[in-house]
Amino acid sequence: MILEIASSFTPQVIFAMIGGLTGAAFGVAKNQHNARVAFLLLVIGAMAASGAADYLVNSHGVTSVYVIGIVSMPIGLVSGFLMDALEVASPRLAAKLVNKLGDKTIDKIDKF
Amino acid sequence: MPIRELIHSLSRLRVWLFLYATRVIEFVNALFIIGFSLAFVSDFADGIVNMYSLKSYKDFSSMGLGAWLIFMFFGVAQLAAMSLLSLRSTKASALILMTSGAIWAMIAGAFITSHHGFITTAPYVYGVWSIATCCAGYELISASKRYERLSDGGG
Repeated sequence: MILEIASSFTPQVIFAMIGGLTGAAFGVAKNQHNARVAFLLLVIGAMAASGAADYLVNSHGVTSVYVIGIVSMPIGLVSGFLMDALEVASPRLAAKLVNKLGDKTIDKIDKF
Repeated sequence: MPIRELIHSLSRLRVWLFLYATRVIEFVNALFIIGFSLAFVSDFADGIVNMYSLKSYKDFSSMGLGAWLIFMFFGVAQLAAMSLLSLRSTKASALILMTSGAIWAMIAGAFITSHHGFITTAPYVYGVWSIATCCAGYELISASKRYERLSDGGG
């Protein structure tokens, strides 16, 4: 199981994760989210970019790590703005989610 | 040139290029999306899918009718969002621009494979358009956030 997971981290997936993280970082930097939301968006960016890389490798046969790294950046960028997308779709739900995650972080800091 | 200075110069270039031209890019992008996906949708409507037998488009054969209809929806949504004049619709339009930029980048990637590298014009055209839509979307959402902050601050 662990070996199977480790083998899925091909160079293409690793470059996609780097591209996705870079793109998501641009999106996250534009917003003033709390640390938990920012981390969540970065992880989503990396995951979405890896998924896209997986699709490009398996369905289209793209093997170049540089092409995959560059293609992953806009995918990560969109992920960095996911909270804005939620805000556009439902402002109340977005505010609720941000407050909930923010409160949890503050509670943890207080306990620490 | 230090990396910090390079990023700063690139940001200034992006602002200079896309500060006023976002409306044109939104409109052209919507037409590009609708036109691109309509070619595939009309091919599916005929019953015989001829486009996938062409060398340039054979790598798109994994895309079904549903995928092209969703892509077409982005174009229609872009037209609808850009025609409304509110902060929410501007943000929606910016997000659609960036999402379509990601899709154009994937299309450029697919063309690179089907054309065995950068030997034809397709990867350049779709790649450049992807960069343009992403930068315009980023600039548009940045501008709407600045406007939102000024409005909240009573400025």
